[in-house]
Amino acid sequence: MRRLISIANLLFALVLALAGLSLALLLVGRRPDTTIISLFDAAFGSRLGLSETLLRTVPVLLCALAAAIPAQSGQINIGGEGQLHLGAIGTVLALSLVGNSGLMVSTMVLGAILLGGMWAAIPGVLRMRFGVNEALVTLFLNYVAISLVQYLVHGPMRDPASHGWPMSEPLPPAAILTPIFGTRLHWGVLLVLVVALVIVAVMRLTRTGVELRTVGLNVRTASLVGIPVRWYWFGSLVCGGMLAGLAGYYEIAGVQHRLRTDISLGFGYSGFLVAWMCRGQFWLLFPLSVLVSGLISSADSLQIMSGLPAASADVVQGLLLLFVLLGQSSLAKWEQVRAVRQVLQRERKYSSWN
Amino acid sequence: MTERKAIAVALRGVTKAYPGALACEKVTAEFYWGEIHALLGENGAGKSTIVKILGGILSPDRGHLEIGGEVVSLANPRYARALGIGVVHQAGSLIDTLTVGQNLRLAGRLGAATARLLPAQFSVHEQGIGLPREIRPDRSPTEVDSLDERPCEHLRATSDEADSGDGDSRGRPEFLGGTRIASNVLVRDLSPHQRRLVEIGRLLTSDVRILVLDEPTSALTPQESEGLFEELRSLANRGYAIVVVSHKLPEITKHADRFTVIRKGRVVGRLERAKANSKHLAELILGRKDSALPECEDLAQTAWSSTGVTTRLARRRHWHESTNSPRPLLRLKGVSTVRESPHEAPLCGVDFELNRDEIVGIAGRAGSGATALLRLIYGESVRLEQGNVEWVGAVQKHRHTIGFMPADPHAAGLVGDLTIAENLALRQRKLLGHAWRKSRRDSATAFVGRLIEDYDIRPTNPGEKARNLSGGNMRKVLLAREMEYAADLLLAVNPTAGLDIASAEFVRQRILQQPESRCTVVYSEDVDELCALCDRVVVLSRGRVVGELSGEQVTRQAIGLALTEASHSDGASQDGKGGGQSLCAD
Repeated sequence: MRRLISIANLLFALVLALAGLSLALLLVGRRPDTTIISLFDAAFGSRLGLSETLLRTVPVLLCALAAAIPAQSGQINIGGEGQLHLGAIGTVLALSLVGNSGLMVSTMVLGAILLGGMWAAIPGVLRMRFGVNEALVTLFLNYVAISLVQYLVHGPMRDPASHGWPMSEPLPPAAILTPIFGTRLHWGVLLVLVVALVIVAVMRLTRTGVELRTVGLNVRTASLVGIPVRWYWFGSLVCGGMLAGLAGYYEIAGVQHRLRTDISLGFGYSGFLVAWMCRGQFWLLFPLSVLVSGLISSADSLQIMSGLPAASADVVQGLLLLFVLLGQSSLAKWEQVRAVRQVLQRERKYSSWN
Repeated sequence: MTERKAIAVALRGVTKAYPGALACEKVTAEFYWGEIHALLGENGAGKSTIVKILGGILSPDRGHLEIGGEVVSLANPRYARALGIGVVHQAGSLIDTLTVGQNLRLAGRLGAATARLLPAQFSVHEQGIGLPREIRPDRSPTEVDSLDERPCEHLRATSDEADSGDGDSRGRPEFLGGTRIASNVLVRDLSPHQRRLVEIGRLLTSDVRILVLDEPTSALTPQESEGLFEELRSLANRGYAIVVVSHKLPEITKHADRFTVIRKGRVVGRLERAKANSKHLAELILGRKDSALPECEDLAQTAWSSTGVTTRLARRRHWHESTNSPRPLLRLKGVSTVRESPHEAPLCGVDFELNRDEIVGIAGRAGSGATALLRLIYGESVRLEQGNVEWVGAVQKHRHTIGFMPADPHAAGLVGDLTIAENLALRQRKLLGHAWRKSRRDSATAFVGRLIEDYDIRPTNPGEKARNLSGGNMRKVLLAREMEYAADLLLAVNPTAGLDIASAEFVRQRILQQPESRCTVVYSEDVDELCALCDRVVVLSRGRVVGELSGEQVTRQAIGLALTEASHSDGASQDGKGGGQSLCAD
């Protein structure tokens, strides 16, 4: 029942967000109906469109997990974007360390996870030792990470053969993930799904998951019964950073094949939005990631077809979040009002002493 | 009191529902001018809801309020205040970091502002309040605006002691019935008794004629409560209508003129003083005829059934016999700690010993250092200045298992969004999770099932979310978990605060039936509770041990006296040192 309500809320929010988009379309003199249909057609209607959407689902879902896991322990990780960039750096760095060898792929993955985790460890340590607000630190480190990538591709890592373009050397063919179905989609999409399912299972079914949730739900109780609260804060942030780093690996090895400044289409932020919309209901991560990825991948076609800027897709994302949250809080309010009304209806017959 | 007095406020068929429960149902009650009216009932009976409705914090779902015969709707606390209803909440609403004078003036300012903000139709009601002429303040409406200039105008300010220069210092007003509180003292340095008085005084500076006090004596010693009621009586004699919510039967029976008893949200009795006695009131409150309820002044002391008392007496005897060989568990020697919060005195040369098989009470006001002491014993990172903490029979403190029952399970102790089972297993976390390992799952089910049965937790479904439990059952979950865990030491803070009598009795019984190897430390603001539970009571004040009572010495009078004396000597030192400083500063 609760799931049905969540889905209904989601669909309703989607309708409202699209209504907002329609309004914008009307203002610029385009027909909203055809535009929206073609928008969905571009994202989900064809094999190519669907594959592009799923391709984007990989980093979005990973970044959503990167925000959702720390959220379980009450930590806000807005730094998925930066951790993804660090993951990308880690991938290329690991490759340049081991060169073209048999261990190449696993080293790349390891490098990405390690650097992503380390990037998240900075706010983790600051939070754990000094009580610094992790939301701000993760957010600010995004800018540092993006600048770091810019520095690397303009300087030490620039490909001499790139004619001055800011990009690193292309990956050797063996390091590139094999595309499937003749599209750009790679097997990583299935692996990510497995990773996500495993994490959800850990969260729901293990002692660690329960303890993590306890920390997030009531810190004072958690520390009272001896749960190492600070370590859970740190651990969940690092865990999130690792997953975002993995997203960086997939972007390099599966999509871009080299380090560039524009490796991310704001996946970190989209993932954060998805995690925030889920509010701890992990199963919602999957449909929402796909939906948001669809919006991202159809942004270009939106621009081409309707003349709206590609950023309109971001606006739709934002509206979606807004309406989902609005729906969630009004549902909560409505449930409370209904509960009060029920009580009033059950009111016993007045049979008192006077 | 012979003639029929005029009605000040009346509730007419007031119904208020919360999600899942009806807080009060068709409550009709009348409060008269010049009377102290007691609103009685168990915790959860709906008293606080009525207080909130009177104060304009909640509005009734059905029914209405009448002030002076006119129907009014109190949209928010400002309207209530403007119509003359002032509420003193249990937790208090003074601003700690301001001085008494500033707090009083703040009230004056708000009062004046409200008077301007009020919609026109409300002035009609105000005229309709129908105060007897003689208690109307000799104050024209224009003077209301200038109230903030004279915060203590009715307090007979004596200006001869006025401090120099400072705008705050308005001399030392003679406060209410002669209790002197300097207006330049910070509120946080006041005793609970003084706070109550300041709070009442603050209401009186505005146009309040109807005083509603929620548990005004909860943090006071018996002696101070007497004093407070004397003040209230003198206000009533001047024509104020006073509504007192209380669960302390003996004192309220003694001082109130009229009683309204509420049970499960309904009015079950209206009595006048002549017809009321504690026994009858207790029966009405509990809704049962209990032959064990003694008809005596000390009813509160034995409000829980006679079995509780006998257990206690048996325990005392047992404890007395076994004192020949006390088995020490923990020794604090000359312990002083660093001040960590402005609200809590640091410990200051505390010598303290805990033995197995005893129940030790700590008496002390909020901020007396009891919290610091408990945290120190519990092993939280309290910074020691000097002295040492010595655990007997173990190298390190975590060789012992120490349970902790915080005062408010909602805030700390339970996790509302986890299930009963998960909450119960929070101390035995090996049992958490492991959904796929059958052996673990089975032992977890067995463990949780046993606790639910042993401690009579309802609902019995272990998958129920803890947030859906009643206050009593929440406390039982906490009790079950901590009791099960605490083999050596159990620390309990206000273990029965906010519980109805039956649940409170249950919790006390469980504490009293402790195994011989354990020591229990109870910190409670309720002197009666300490008497009911403890073999030994240590009185703390300002971080120092100021008294220790054991065995037959543990009586409410003795504890009350020790507390009162301590606060008096504090008052003296406060005057000398300007207050607020740790006496440990040297």
